Amino acid sequence: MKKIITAITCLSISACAGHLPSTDKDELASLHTAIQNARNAGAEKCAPAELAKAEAKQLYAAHEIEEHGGYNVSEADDLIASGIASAKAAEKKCSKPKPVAKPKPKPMAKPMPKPVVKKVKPIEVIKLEGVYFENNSAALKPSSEASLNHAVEVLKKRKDIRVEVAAYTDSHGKESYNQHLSELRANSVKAYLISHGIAGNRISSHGYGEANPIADNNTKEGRAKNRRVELHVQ
Amino acid sequence: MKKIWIICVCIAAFSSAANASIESRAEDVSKQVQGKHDYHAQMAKELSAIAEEEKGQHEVSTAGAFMEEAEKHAQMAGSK
Repeated sequence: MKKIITAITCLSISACAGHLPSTDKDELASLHTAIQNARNAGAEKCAPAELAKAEAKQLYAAHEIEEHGGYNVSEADDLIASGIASAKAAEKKCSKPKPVAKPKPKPMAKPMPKPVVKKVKPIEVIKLEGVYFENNSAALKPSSEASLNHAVEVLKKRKDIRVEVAAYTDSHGKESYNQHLSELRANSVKAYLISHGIAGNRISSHGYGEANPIADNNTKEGRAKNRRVELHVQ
Repeated sequence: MKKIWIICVCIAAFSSAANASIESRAEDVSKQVQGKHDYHAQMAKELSAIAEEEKGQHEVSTAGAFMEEAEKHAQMAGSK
């Protein structure tokens, strides 16, 4: 019997896991409101880092308050203030700028000369079908090798051309994030080509983000087509 | 006397195991959310950092609770 009691005591100690505190506290009311405002502004999509900071600090402050059996001014107050600042930053980031009124055009005194239309040479595009990246990353998937090796062969045969590696994303997610991701992906493909013997001075890279979609971004298939990499011959 | 000794051994074993697991779990979370920038990935990073801070202050059970929440968010991270 004694052994059983001892074993139960040991198991109880092991099972004594912590729990996350409740954030439903008077002291956290202002932080709670700031987070709610940020969420209403769409911060989960447009300012996830700031929103996460605010919510994590809310939990941490709640823990500090519970841990000290009341309101610990020095630690919890700092966390609450910092959380409110993060939530406000998230809300600000998500609020759209007000449209600026366009000035009325002045009446023209003289007729404008006809604009000179330059004939633009169409760009030759080498499509790289089958180039895939890890989710939210510029890391190339191993399955992309065949397509990239084909591009290497083309560039080795056509020694006289320079190319721009152009990467595009679909329109899902924040525009600035997609822009950054496309730049990283274009750089990643450029690095692959250089590492396979193509001279660096023949290749430039450019991320176009969500620009120039070739298919409907409202469908899964369309979005998959829009996430692409091309070589623009220059 | 024997009973007290057994309980002490249990406490020591549990304590060292919990310490080690917070570190390795933080590493797993970090790997899981690497390159991800969505809300859940950010939450996972923030909560994991708090867990490590708490562990540093020997608040092992609190660290475990924060880490558990971090792992939940890490699971949900990255939908693109």
